[in-house]
Amino acid sequence: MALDLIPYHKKKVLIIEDLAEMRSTMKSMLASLGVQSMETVNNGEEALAKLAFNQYDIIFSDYELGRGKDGQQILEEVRHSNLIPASTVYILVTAAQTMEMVMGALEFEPDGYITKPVTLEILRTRLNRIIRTKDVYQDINKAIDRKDINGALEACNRLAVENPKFALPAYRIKGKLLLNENRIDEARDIYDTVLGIKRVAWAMLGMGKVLYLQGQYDEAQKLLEALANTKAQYVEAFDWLAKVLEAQGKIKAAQAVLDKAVETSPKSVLRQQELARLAELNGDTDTLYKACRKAHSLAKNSVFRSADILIRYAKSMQPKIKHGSMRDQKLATSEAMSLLEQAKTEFPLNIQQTFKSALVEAQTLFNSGREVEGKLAYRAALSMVKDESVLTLDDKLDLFTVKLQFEDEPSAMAYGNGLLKQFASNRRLQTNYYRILDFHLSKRPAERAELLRKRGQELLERDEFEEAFELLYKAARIDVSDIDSQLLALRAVIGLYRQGGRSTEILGMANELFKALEGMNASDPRYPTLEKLRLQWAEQNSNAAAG
Amino acid sequence: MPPPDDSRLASDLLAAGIHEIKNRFGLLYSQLDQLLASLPLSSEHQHNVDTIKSEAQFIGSELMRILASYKTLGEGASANVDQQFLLDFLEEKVARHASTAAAHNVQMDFECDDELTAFFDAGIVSIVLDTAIYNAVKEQVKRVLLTADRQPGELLIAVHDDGAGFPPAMLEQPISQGVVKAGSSSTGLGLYFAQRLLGLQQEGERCGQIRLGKSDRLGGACVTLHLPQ
Repeated sequence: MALDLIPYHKKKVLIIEDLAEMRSTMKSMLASLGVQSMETVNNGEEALAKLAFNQYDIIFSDYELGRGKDGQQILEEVRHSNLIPASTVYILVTAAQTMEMVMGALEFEPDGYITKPVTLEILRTRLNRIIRTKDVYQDINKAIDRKDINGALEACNRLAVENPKFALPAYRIKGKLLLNENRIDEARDIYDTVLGIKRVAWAMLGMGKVLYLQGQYDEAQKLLEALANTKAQYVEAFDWLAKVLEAQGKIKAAQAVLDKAVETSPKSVLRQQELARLAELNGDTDTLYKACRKAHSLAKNSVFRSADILIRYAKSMQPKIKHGSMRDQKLATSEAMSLLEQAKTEFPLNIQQTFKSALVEAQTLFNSGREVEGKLAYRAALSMVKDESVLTLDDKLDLFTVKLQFEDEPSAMAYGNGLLKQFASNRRLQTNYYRILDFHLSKRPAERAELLRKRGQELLERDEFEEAFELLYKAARIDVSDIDSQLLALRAVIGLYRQGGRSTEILGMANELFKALEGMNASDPRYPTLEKLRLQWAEQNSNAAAG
Repeated sequence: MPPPDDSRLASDLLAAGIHEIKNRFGLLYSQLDQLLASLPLSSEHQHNVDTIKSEAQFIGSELMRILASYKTLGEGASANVDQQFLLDFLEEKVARHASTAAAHNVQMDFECDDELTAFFDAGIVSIVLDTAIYNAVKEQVKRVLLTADRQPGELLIAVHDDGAGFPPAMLEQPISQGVVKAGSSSTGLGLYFAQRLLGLQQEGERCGQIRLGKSDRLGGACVTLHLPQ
């Protein structure tokens, strides 16, 4: 390789670094490489402001920046908003100790890494290498910056032919460009070719996206699951797997996948927002609140603020407003009202968002004890929607929740029953519907137990053992003398074990149920049922021991 | 009904503990590093500082290596094979060990063809190379050389040194748990786990493996990684 001198004196450099000594060390080292134009900032906010109005050839960003955004968040926003041209060199500076963690969490890749402590020798070697590699792609990047996508694709082809070492990276860029342009079939050709050579992670991910976009969900799921099970550092594989599962209607599984991704990489605001959205669909109030809180704080002062997250966050605070301590209640109430206000003033809301925000406002008022004002807000919300067909079924479930608070029960229930019919066989919506009722009946144990038993039995008939058990166990706990619920719960747990759903927690619950039934009189007409369940249970457990 | 998997729980607990220690240690180290950098020191004290830094890096890297090995072996995940440019890969490896090498007066270099590319899991190979490099540095060698060569069906990456080399007995048997070099402070566990890790790197029926030998370049030990292609 010709070692042409890199004209550092012509390069404009930005250094993002919070520590003063480190800033001056970097500056003096870069100066000794010949760099003349350098600017420094000490946090992410300043960096983004600078990047919005200036162009740099090389950016060094520290990963750990003290308070505020870290290097990953800056990069996420930079790439998301196209703040820097493709030809800019972006380098992440990390402590050696955090390197692995950083690389694992990044879906927006920098052009290179430099690990601390940075010495002149390391800086020179690494920077030269990174810039030389970047130069290999310069025709492609220049075309991308001109928005000449066909030109960029041609440049990829040229690179692959002229410099075989870079053939695969060239294909990788090509696949990305084609996907961005929605040229799915062509992208598929690229990934097919690469996967024919080697099952590299990025090509598996690319193919996963292609299959998703072409509606081949089963195939996409298989591929992305295989990818998620490699040591690949693509947290992105989880994001797409969640999309695929959602498209198949497996919302609960989709949320579980994102839960895992968030564990690996908790600082991606987009992922937290997605998790919040799925948790809302699943009626998982706990996760909804946590993900909203996280997404909201990560989105502070960034382009990622959105009306949806503000409204959703306010919604997620309702359990706190209703059941929290006096202090929590007060804080959550004013926070929720202020979030809704921000949503209204900062964003142009569409009809669904306006409606949802009005409903959350009504709930906030009602749950904090201002029932009359709540009722007014509820009326105002209703008057906004003349035609209910603009609402999704999820919106209508929200409306049902609020109706239970503000209308007399028979008419609210009539609305709910009508809704339930519209759900046809959508398990998720049905589950949410029953969860709302369960919550509504929390002060009326007898009715609540009956509701849970009825729904549990329905699920049992349909072999949905896990959810059936959850509900029937709850029912059995509400009324400890309710033998029917206890027997049904045991049927569910045996079904669940037969499907392989074992856990120590469930084992304990089942044993507890058998114990409660020990006193049953042999003359009880249900005694033979109990005996049969005992036998089946013993059989399941001896299988488990043998296995 | 079998009891819950206690051994798994115990090792998870250990791993979580090490993770925490590693992070805290990273913080501690970076604070110390800044503090030391801001002090005016005599050359004698500067030598102490270099030793402290190098030992600290040793500990940090060791913790990281243990964690990475644990994660890699425990997850049951398959290797993440991707195309690597050997020039970049080895250059970065050398750069990452530069300060440790300097502190121990070890001259560290690498050699490979500019155009050489190969498929392997960079994370796994990185851990294995770190193990071999640290072992060499601990043996107080003066030179370490990394080389990479393409052979039919495989890539060879070797860590050469100019130390005393492996005793013949160790060269004759397969790498096993607890094999140690006579008079060495090393436990031998490093290479054993490195071998296990490299086994995850598969191509068809063939697995990656480590072979120990005498260095034809520097006269000391040579640890060669065989990576099926």
